[in-house]
Amino acid sequence: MDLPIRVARGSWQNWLGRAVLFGGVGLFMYRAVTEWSRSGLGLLADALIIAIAVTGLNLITGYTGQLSLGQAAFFAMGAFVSAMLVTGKIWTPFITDNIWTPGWTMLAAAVVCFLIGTVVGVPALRLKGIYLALVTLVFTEAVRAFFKYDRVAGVTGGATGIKGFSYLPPAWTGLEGRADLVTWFFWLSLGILIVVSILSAGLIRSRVGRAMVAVRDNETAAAVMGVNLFSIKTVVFGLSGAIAGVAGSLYALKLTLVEADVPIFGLFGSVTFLVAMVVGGAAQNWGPFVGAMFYVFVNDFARSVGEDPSGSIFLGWLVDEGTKIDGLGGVTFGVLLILFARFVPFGAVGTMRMWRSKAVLVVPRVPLGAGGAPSAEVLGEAGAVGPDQAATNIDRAEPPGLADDDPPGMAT
Amino acid sequence: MVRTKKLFALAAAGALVLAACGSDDDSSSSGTDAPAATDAPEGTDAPESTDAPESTDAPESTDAPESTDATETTEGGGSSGAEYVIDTENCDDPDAATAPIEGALKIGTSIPLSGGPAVLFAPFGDGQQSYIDWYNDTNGGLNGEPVELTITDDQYTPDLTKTNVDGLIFDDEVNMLSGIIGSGSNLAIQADVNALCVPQLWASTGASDWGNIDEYPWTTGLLVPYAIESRVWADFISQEAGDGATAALFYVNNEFGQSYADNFKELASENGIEIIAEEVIDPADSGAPSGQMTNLVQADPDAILAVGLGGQSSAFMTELGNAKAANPDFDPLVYMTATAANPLFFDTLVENGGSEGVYTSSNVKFVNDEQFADDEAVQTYLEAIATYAPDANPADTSVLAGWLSMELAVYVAEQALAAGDLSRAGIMNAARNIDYVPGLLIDGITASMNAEDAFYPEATQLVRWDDTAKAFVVAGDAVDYNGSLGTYTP
Repeated sequence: MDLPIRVARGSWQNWLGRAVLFGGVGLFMYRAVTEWSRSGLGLLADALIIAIAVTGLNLITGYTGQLSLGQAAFFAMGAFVSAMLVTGKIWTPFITDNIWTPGWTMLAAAVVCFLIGTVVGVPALRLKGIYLALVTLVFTEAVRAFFKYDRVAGVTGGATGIKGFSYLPPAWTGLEGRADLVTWFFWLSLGILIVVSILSAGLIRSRVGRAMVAVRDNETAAAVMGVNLFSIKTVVFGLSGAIAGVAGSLYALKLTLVEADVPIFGLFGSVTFLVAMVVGGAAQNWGPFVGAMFYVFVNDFARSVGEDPSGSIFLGWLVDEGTKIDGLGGVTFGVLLILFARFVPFGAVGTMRMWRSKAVLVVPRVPLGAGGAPSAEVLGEAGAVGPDQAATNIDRAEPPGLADDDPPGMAT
Repeated sequence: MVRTKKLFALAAAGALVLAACGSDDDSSSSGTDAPAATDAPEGTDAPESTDAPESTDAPESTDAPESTDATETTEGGGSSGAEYVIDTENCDDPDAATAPIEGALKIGTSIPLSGGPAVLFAPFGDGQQSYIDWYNDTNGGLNGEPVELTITDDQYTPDLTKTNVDGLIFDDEVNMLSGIIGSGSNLAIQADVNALCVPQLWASTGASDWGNIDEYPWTTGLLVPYAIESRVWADFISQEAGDGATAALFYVNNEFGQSYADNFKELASENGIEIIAEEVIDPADSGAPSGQMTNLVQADPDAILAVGLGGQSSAFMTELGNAKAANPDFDPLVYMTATAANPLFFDTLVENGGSEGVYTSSNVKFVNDEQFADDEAVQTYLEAIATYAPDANPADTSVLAGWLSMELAVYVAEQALAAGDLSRAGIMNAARNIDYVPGLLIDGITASMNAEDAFYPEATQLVRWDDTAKAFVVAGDAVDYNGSLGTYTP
């Protein structure tokens, strides 16, 4: 049998592959809830929240090619909007004890962040690459400074931030109070991540998604072909911000504290999201999830090395028991990131796809009648096969991981 | 540059350790039998040299006399308040809170061991671990079982603190938390931990929130409240510069700095001090505050209150040195917050002598000072650090604060055991009614809590840096405001 095996998208073999993938992840999640420790589940919930924010970043940076360091600003805005609503610092409807409180504040956060995001998208019309990154970086710092500004301290809490609120699991979940808080946020984050991922995947497959990819690959050509750069950039910035806002809102409700100095609300957060996106694989559906998992759990591993160097498989043979090395956790994480970037250049998902494509290649189904090649004819013994023309184009696709989401000839 | 400074710090640390060991030989054992705390400081204006170190395994009695040297103890008042009894009815699981602790006492903590602030705070963990190791080796543990301590790393980020504490409570099943560093980190867990009724003892910050006994009775603070420090400095300004004194503020723009600024402004207006300039610095800003200093020189106040995070304190003093050199008339009284009361910040990191004459305050003994060569508590501490954390610098107040956070945690557990109620609620009752001054705190002060007094340490000592002697010298008497803050309601 010749490798790679060609499988048509939407065929039963393709669905089988997906089922195995989703089943595996589902099993992993199930085991996490039933068997993991609290702190492990807490980290997983954190990873899911980061994954949501990264899904937003993936839209604007991964698919549309606009390098943004502003994601943490939207994350912070979402967090503050939620905290301000929940504590009644600004006009607050439905602040009663029902199942929507304070979950509905996530929607409010999404709307606010969408509106501000579209405004931030305007400079992106003229600025590219590193210059856009610079403007969005300034935006992040400006938002932070705004939340600390003493004239608005009555609403934002100023330098001291907002505290003293919480989001306990509603009764209908069957979870009990604070003891199940972590489990509650795990399910909540997982649910929101799934919804956001499905919406994002749908968007990418839509006409807007093609336009986004076209803008990334060649902005001028896209404009010439009729893509409205203004609406694409502003709307995608808005969507990206809205998703980050929801993540920030979740983060605030889980942390029960918002303060402008929380590291993830600043440049550190923006870089975290960018690292997670790149590590997972830019412009990949599964990228944000894998990247966030990598970021959170590898960082946790690095911290455990720092907490007890002699007990780790990493340095145990090198140092005596009880040795403490200041800052070792951070160094370990840095080294692991560098190694990862060196050996997994397209991100985890991109690289896995590259390897997979050597064995199995998913090719697009040909619309009936297109190119005069009826698909029934080419569905041979080796499974589903697309027309030669399409298959050859897939082979040349760059980077390799893009084959599924970025069929040739459809970008415009 | 930073590396050079760190090398200097290491060298200084080594030198201090050597100095400390050397001074042992000079001690001619003046026979200071540790008296019970009940007859500790009697004399008014207890001088620094008073030789009444508390024994570390101190007295059970809770009725220490009202200290007479408390200059301004008016409201509340020392141990005279009613006994506090913790209410477990609102706990998520009241039975667990009152259940006797079986087996080893488990203590958990979460501090920065990696990330930027780790350089300053990781030694805190050395102090904590050393105390527990020393205690277990010396006393054979508590109730016959060695005390277990779990230290986790939160990189100074509240979300990791929360994750760590979740793990400590539900996976490691610790009986109490003690010495968690940072206002944000402690605030992030406060509501949950109080609902779960796990003692959140000796939070290593001085924010007012730890005195909120009505809402969060399971949380207590370790550091002298920022409000007390501000008051000590405001009083000192009034005393030195008289009526119509002017003052300026330099503070970091976060909860920590804001807390000092708010307290000081309030006290300034009470004391008739006019605030003529306010300069802020961002928490992440590690550069020299030269712009701010230029404005301060222009304002030319009689006194400055400077609130910096970690290295910012040293950067401020370096700029102060430059400003004084360039403007011979510029010579304000300057106070750095107690969080910077560390020889490393005043000496090693300030190369131009800018720290000369700068004030700060401390409620702990500077362990390398010769006057403590015979001090039992100090010598026990120095020996224990040398044994259990030979790489740590005992003169680093971070190590000492870590040690104290565990000494006090174990002390209240001992008290609970002695009272026949070694449970989480019992420990909390012991903590909320504590009346005990560890030997490492300065002599001649009181420190207690009760139903009307929700702040533990409210006494401190103003000190001034002498750059020639490379040491802090006391400025005036210890000031004891024990009981004055009462309780806090946001």
